[in-house]
Amino acid sequence: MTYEIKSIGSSAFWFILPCLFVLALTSLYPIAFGFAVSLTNWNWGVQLDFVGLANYVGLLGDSEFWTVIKNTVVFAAAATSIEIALGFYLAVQVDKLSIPTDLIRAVIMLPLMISGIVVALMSKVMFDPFLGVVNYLIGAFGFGPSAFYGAALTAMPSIIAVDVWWQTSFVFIIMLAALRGLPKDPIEAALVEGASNFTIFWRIKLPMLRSLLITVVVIRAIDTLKVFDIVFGTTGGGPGLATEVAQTFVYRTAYSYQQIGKAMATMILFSLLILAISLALQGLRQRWEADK
Amino acid sequence: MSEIRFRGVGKHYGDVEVITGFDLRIHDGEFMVLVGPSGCAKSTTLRMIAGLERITSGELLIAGKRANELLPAERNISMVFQSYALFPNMSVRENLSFGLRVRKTDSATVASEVDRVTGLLGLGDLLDRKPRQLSGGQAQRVALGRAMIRKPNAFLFDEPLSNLDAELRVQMRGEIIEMQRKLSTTTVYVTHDQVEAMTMGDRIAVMNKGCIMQLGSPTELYRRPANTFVAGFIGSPRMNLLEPGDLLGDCDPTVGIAHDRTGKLGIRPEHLLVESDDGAVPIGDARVTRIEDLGHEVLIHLRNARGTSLTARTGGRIAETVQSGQTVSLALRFDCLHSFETATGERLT
Repeated sequence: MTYEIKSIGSSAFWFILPCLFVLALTSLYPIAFGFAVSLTNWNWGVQLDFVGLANYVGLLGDSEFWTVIKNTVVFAAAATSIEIALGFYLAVQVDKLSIPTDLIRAVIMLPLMISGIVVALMSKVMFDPFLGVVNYLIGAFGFGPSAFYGAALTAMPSIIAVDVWWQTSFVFIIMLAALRGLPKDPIEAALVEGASNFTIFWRIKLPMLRSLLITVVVIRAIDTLKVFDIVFGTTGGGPGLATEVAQTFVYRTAYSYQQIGKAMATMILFSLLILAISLALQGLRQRWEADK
Repeated sequence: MSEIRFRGVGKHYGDVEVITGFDLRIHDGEFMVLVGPSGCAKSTTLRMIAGLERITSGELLIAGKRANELLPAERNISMVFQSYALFPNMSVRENLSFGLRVRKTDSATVASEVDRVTGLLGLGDLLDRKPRQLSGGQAQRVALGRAMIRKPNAFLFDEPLSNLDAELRVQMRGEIIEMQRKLSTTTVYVTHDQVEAMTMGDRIAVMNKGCIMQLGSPTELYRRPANTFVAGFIGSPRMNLLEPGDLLGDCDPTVGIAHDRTGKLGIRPEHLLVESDDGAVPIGDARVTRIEDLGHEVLIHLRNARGTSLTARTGGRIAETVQSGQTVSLALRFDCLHSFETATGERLT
């Protein structure tokens, strides 16, 4: 029997080998190519010299790079936290409703169907300091107008708000499906045992959803760390460096300054950051799974 | 005093009537079994007692108090679910003590009650395990412990043994009976398994389509089924229910038993005698279509010249003399017959 299993195992390896080869080619090659380019001073033209780790050393000593990283992390942390909290809260509230919720779900999901650059354009018009409806509404409540994307202080909160508006429904729809898919018996058992709705949520439902919740956090964290369209379509990274994030920084470095090697080095460093954050979150999830 | 009483209770889902005018009185300390086929509303009835289903009309009294509007938590009921319904993120200890903790019981009492229940159910070694680390029997025992720890008005069991293998089912059946006798707590037990119903209940309510077809002790139900539904449902293999003329003409005993020729005849398989003339009335010959030899008894499936299918249950020895395809003589005893009205299915004698 053992022999048969081993034999099947080795056949299986040969069957998946072509697939592994294609995956390696399509996944590893671009990374290897990117890393190779990051060791050069390629300018998208004829200049192509090996510079070793000079791009990396330059970046790590450049305050602009650290501002970009800080902006990216601030944006990702704020947007992810608010989206998770708001999306989960909405899902819990909608799950409680005893009326048909198809329409509510459709309305909440609408923003998710719009592309990032369109969301950016819409928000740009709405947040316009002179013509935008948001300033008009603020004015109606007696407050002074805000520059939103035009001021260093308000630009970052504005793009965070836009991303929250755009992506909260992703968290909502996943968590609502998860809530609806929870086994009913433990919840009913807790009701019979005398637990309040609050206790049932914190002690029964939330622990059962913890693993999925952390997965959604990972997905949103990676997605927000890679933000581009919202920033590119609204502030373009400005004013100054107030909203410059990794993607827009790389775009500018590569296409405006033709520093492809430096842009690639930024992406490699940034990818390592994403990898570290993802691994940390996955580790947390695995620890909770083991604890379950 | 923890009597449970249904007074004209109805349950509707929109326009669909599931239970109408349901009346049932479950005495204090009684072990009541609700048995019936799938979809007969036995679980709905149980869930109405627990407060997990709203009662549409009528009145439910628990311990003499109207319970229609009470939340599940306010009814002081314990329930054991088919799926065990243990809290997956909590240890056995936390599962057991959950009900006491949410009721703000002091830690010393919780600890002593957990000790008492674990001692009673032999859960001592499992206290720090999570539900996923338990076998089906262990999980069921924890569910029982969680129900027992609170001293409730009543225990509710919703097909708690369905997920267990046959051997464990018999063992757990014994443990539940023992526990109920020891605690003398009013118990309502839902099952579709008639063996569980017959062996566990003080009284059994046989349900069909939201109605009680018969309420009585296991013996009453078996010996004097009130209608063809109960006659067919209680007893395994089921009672032979025959239309007039299903047996051979001259010997058809329905003529003499029923009030008229529209009566149906019921014969328990053990009362249908094969190759025996021991003071019984012969009812013609039949061909053996199949034999199920269970060792201690033999089930013989037969078909007579009129094409009527019959089942007989006899002692194990007959398997040595009767074979499939053989024609055998059949007989029955009048004093063991049941007759039912054809139109309503109600018992006649």
